[in-house]
Order: sequence, then C-alpha cells, then structure tokens
Amino acid sequence: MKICLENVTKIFAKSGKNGQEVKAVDDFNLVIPDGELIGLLGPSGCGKSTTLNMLCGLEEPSLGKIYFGDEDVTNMPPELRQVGMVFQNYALYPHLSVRKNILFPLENLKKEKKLSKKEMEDRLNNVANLVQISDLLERKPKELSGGQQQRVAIARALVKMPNVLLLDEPLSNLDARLRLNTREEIRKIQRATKITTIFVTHDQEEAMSISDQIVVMKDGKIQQVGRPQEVYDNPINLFVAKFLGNPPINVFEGKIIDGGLYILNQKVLDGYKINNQDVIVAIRPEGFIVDDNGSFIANKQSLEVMGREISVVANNDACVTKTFRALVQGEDIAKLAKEDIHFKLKRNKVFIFDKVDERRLNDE
Amino acid sequence: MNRHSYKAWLYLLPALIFLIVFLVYPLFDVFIYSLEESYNFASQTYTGIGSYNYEYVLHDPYFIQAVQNTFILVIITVPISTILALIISLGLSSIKALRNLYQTIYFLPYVTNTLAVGLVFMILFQKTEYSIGLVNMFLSLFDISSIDFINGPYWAKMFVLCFYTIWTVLPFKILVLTGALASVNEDYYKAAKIDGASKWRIFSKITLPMISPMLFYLVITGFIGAFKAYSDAIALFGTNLNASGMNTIVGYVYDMLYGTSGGYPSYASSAAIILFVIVLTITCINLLVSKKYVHY
Repeated sequence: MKICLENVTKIFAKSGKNGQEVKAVDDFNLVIPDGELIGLLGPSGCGKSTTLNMLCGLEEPSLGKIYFGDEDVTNMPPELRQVGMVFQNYALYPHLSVRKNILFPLENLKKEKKLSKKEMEDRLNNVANLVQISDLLERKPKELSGGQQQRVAIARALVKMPNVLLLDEPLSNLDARLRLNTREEIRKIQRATKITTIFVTHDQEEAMSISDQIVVMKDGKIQQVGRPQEVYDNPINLFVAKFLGNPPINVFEGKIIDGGLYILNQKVLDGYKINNQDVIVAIRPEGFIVDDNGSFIANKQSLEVMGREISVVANNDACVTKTFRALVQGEDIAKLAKEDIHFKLKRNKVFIFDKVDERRLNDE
Repeated sequence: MNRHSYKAWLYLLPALIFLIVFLVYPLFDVFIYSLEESYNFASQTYTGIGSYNYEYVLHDPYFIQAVQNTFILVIITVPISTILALIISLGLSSIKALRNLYQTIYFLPYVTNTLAVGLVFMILFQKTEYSIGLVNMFLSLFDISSIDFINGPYWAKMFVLCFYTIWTVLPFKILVLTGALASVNEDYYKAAKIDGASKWRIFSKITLPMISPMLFYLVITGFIGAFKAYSDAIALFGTNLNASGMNTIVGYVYDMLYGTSGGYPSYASSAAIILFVIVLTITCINLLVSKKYVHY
C-alpha cells in the first residue's frame, strides 16, 4: 500500500517547570511507493520514532495528513489502520506461549472479520513457516534467543496481514553476527510478502544495506531521501555526508580559489565552478590514492592492516578532527613506509560544503 | 557438598539460628503443651497426655464462634479488599493530574493506629443514649430505623468488623498494586492497542497476568493476616470479645492464656495449633492454585 505523509508535524507540549515546546517532527513530506522497504535513519532524538508512532496511530500529528492508499488515516485509531508493528524490545507477552502471542492479534478480530479456529491455525502456520519458527510454537518467549524472539515479533506483526509493517530499531537488541543474518532475513520476508515496510534505525549501515530508500532525518526534519547509494554518493549537506559511511567521512577546512580546491595552501583538485570562498571539504576514506606526486600531504600516525585494504590513520592541520582515516589498497603497503604520505584524491569522493550553513556546494 | 555451598550455609547460619530458637523450637513446644492435659506454667506439671485438649477446644462454643467469625472475616474481606484495591489502583494509574495527591490520601489510613481508627469507627457506628451515630443519621435519611452496630445484632457487628478490616488493609494493597501496574512495560499496551485488543482483553490478557505475582502475594498475606486478626475486633468491641460474640481464633488463644477465663495454656496451645493447621492448609491450597494463574 502506498503511504503518503503531507506536512506532518508533531509538537509536544511543554512539560515541567522550565519545559519547552518540542517540535519532534517538523513538516515531514514523503511518499512511500507500494511494497518498498524504507529506512528512517537519524541520530537519537531526530523524530524518527515519533514518525513511526504517528504512522501506527499511537500518536496523532499536530498538523498535516497521513494517507494509506487513498484513505486519510491521520486521526484513525491504531486498531483500524491494519498496521503491524515490531517493537525494539519485541514486546512479546511473557506469560503467553509463542503460539498464543502470534494468535493474539487474530483473536482480537470482531464480527465479520472474525476467523474460525481453522483459519487462525492456517495463518499461524503460514507465518510461522515464513519466519521459520514452526518448531518453537509451544515455548515461552524467555526460552527463546534474541533472534528467535525477533522472528516471533515479526510473525505476530505479519499474522493479521497488515497493509504496512513498521519496525522500530529491529536489530538493536541483537549481537553483531545475528544482526547481519537478521537484516537479510527481514529483507527476504519483506520481498516475499511485498508489504510496504518502514523501519527506524540509528545505524546507517543497517539502513543502507537493506532499504530500497533511506530517509535521513535530523532535528525532526528530513535531510535527504533517496536510494542508499545515491544518498551516499551525493549527500545534500555535511550532516548527511557525516552520518553515512563507515569509517566516517573525513572533514577538512579548505578554500576555493579560482576554481581550485586548496587544503593547507596546496591545490588538491581543480576545475570547480564555485566562487572564491572558505569551504568545508569532506573526503570519503576510500577517496585517497597513495601517490608520491599527490599534493595532499598527511602525517602518518599508524597503519591498520586489514588484509584486503589498509586503513591509514594520519593527521593534517586542516583536518577538523585530531586524525583522519584513509582506506588504501593492500598492495600499496610499500609506499606507506614514510612519515609524510602524499595522496591524490578521487574527485567523486570529495564533497564541498558551505562553511556557514553546511549545505553542499554544487560545482556544476 | 563443595566449598561454595559450605560458604552459603555459613552465611545463612545466623538467620537460621534465630529462626530455630524463636520459631521452630517454640512451635514444637506449643505442640507438646497442646498434648499435655492441664499443664501448669508455675509448677510445670500436667496430669496426662492425649488429645483431650483438642476435644475440649473443638467442643467449646466460644471456639466454634471464634472460628466462624474468623472464616466469615477471611472470606468477605480478602476478595473484596483485593478487588477494591485493584479498581482503585487502576483508577490511580489512569489519571495523571493529582495522582500523587490521591496516592497520599489513599495511603493515609495505613499510617494511622489501629486503635485510633477503631475509635473513629465506634463514633461513626455506635448508638448511645445521646446520639444514634453518624451512620445511623445517614441511614435515617432513607427511612431505615437505627441499628446499633457495636452492641446490636450479630450481622451488624460483623458488617462493621469487615468494613473496618477492609478499610485498614486497603492502603497497603493499593500501594503494592499501583507499583505493580506502573512496572508493566508500556510497549505491551501499545502492541496490544495496535493489534486491536479491546480494553477488557488488554486488562484480562495482559495487565492481570503481568501483575499476578503481586496479586498473589496480596491474597496470600491477606488470608494469613485475616486469619490472625485480633486487634481489629478489640478496637471495635473491647476486650471481652466472647461476651459480644465477636471473638476470633487468635482472640480465643489470648483469652485462654491471659483473659478473664485465662490460665489454660494447654487449651491455648491446642487452639494455636489448630489455627496453624488451618493457615497452613489454606496457604498450600493458594500455592497450588497459583501455579495455574500466576506468571513470573
């Protein structure tokens, strides 16, 4: 089902003595095509969970409209919205077996929607097969591992065949290895069911790896929407550039003089159609090439050899952080013996931002 | 037994010693007294050994009256006070404004003294030559003729006793249950709401099982407390409970030891053992029932 958010704003009233009004979500506009997997991404407090709560109906927007398909659901109570939700802590009822947990939403159905025992059992078995928990149905949640609980939570959300599936930080309670498996799993289940899915995360890697589109948020505002690779390759501002990518992007102070990009008075790249000014330069770690003729010079601090590639930890006076990180090919190790290393930069990995409002400066 | 369990036993020893000296040994002693006929504290003598004391106590009309009173008290006050406390706690946890004020007000009776509350109840319910009492004044509004709740008919006295007991146990139960309700994770309610559960279903399928350990604790301690009731009756009806027909089992034990009919430690011991057996049985039944309904 296509989802449409129009000018959605959520303002929380003042609380406490010196409380301030909080604009948790600010003029949120987004169209989510049917059947896509969308990652809402942002640091904590950016309003992504509030957005999710408004989608499922636990919170009502202060302003704006939400549409599921053509239907206006802005003020519709959650039980009528046909949404399935997976909570961060899974919220599995601890006193009920897995079977009863999954059946719970079906048993709530009333009147004409009411299902027979047989239908319920069929749906239960279908969804249990889908998430591969058929052999765990008689267990209690606390007898399951984190990953299994996660699957049960997804099963419970899917069993009522929702129009929309919402996942709140679905992977944050799992250990690193399980996280990799589970995110693949979520992707597979989403592909199989073709349910429009929105998930919230603060982990950029998670969002990038499985989303059809990511929505980067900050302070309640959408920063950028797009396919993960697009957003990564074309960040609209410094925040987005910094937020995506691991290791994070390296930030330097620089200057544009007559179309040339200068870092520490060295011309590192040329041919920019940007007016002369002080700028912020952000370079992806993979944007460095070791080259003795390179004009970007950095002082080597240490090397972290990872086999396929080498992470060079170095510093440069123009760098806004103490050190920065460059990822170079493993075979370049011989060139890294010196203290001062010369780099050439890959132009498509270098982004230039306005010094004041940190917006991307277009060089076209 | 490995080294660790030695240590564990060592740490448990102080508590264990106190329990044995002050609980196990006296219980054992009381049991022996209860079998010794006409035991005399002063001379430490007795006339024979057997079940005579039990026969006497079980045929004593005062004891039968006391058992009847106690059971009525237990059966009426435990469920009513628990359900009432649950309703009030649910109310308290669903309001935001003034919640703390209400919580304090509901807790106040707990910090007041039993006898002081008893006095207040007497003033409210008692009918004297000078006044018919506040409750009777209220009843007269509905053309109900005045009743003496303190010295009048049995059911009236029992009503006051139950009312009073519920009143005094309520604050603690409310305190425990509001705490239990607050500790239920909000996400369960949110999940249930999204899944379209009705209010009643949320309450019966989620809230109730989630707070069942606390409810169970209240029921068990409620049963035990009500079985051991004594001071409440004294506060309302004075020390001569046999005369007013409002004695309880503990009251009977006390009377046999020290009361006007006192000086019968053997009878008192038998009555105490009978009470012990009753409480133990009821608690065991509670525990068995709880296996099915309490979720930890």
